[in-house]
Amino acid sequence: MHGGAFNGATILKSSTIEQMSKNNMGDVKVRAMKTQAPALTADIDLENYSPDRISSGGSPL
Amino acid sequence: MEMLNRNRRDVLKGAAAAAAASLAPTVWTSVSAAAVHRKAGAIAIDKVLSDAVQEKQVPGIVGISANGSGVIYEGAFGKRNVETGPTMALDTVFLVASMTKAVTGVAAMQLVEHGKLTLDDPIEKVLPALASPQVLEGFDEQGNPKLRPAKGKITLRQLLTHTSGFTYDFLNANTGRYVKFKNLPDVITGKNLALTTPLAFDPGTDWEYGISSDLAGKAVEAASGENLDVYFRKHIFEPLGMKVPASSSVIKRTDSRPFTAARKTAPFLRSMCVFHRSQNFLAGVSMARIRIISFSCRC
Repeated sequence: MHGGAFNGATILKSSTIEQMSKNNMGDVKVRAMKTQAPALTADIDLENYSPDRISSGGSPL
Repeated sequence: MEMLNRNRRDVLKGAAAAAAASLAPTVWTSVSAAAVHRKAGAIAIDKVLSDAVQEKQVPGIVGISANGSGVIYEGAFGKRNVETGPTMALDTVFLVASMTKAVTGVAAMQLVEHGKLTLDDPIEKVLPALASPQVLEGFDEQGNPKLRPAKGKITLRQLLTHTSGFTYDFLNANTGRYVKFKNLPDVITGKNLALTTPLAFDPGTDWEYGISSDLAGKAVEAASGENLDVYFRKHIFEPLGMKVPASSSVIKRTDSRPFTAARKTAPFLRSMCVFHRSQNFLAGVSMARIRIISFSCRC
């Protein structure tokens, strides 16, 4: 995320980016989800995602 | 069915492989697909994308590839609406769906920097409706939902990491059943009532993908006093030089956007219009043109 800046515009502080890049979930685990509406979405398998990759900056998908 | 089981990710992988194999040394200066002299690399990508349309893996597709020097490939194939058939174009406006969540996360963290939101205080300070969340434990023998007060308060950090307990009706069976029981609108309608589902677990104790980002967007609106699309434009898109950001005004244009096609129907049995003029929230979903998506990915 370019340290929160791009082309001279600072969107977020670099310290905020660092915070967003850390584990913000503690020991909670991401898991797979089974679709309840196959016409809308497939199953979502997040087995290979680790909590360390989930930040406060958005979704893992 | 095997053909249909090749999903969009397979198509994108094929296009990426073609790009990597053939395009790396070449930079096209024109951004118009019609004006670009199609070299071998572009033709290879064209084939991957057009084959995906011909094989009915997708109704239509717009592909773009860029590096630090600029756009190196653009192509549009198929239709925007599988039933009525307008042609997909390079400036077609797409539903970018959950990519909006990351933008909402940036907006929320800006307000954390400014002291208008905090990550760990109860979010009810800005969203009073979330003061007394209920956990849905299941349904009794009569089919009525079994609810109990949640243990703990919901925080912004939990909303941003999908650990709040909120889920999606199309991914959580109990939530889906609750939505039907209460006759609530589906979350894809974008109506506020769709955000009134109970939690699936106590805040901070588990993870599940859901409407948490939409509620984080509501928190951004409450703390900033601005509609979310206005906030995005003023504080994120315009400072970055993005001239055509996703916004509710774009969403309400029906002439230039594609319809979402239902999956695994025979084939693309129908199109689904998933947005309405009455849409109330868009923190989890919004729309943009492919060139804007590409630009945001480069930021």
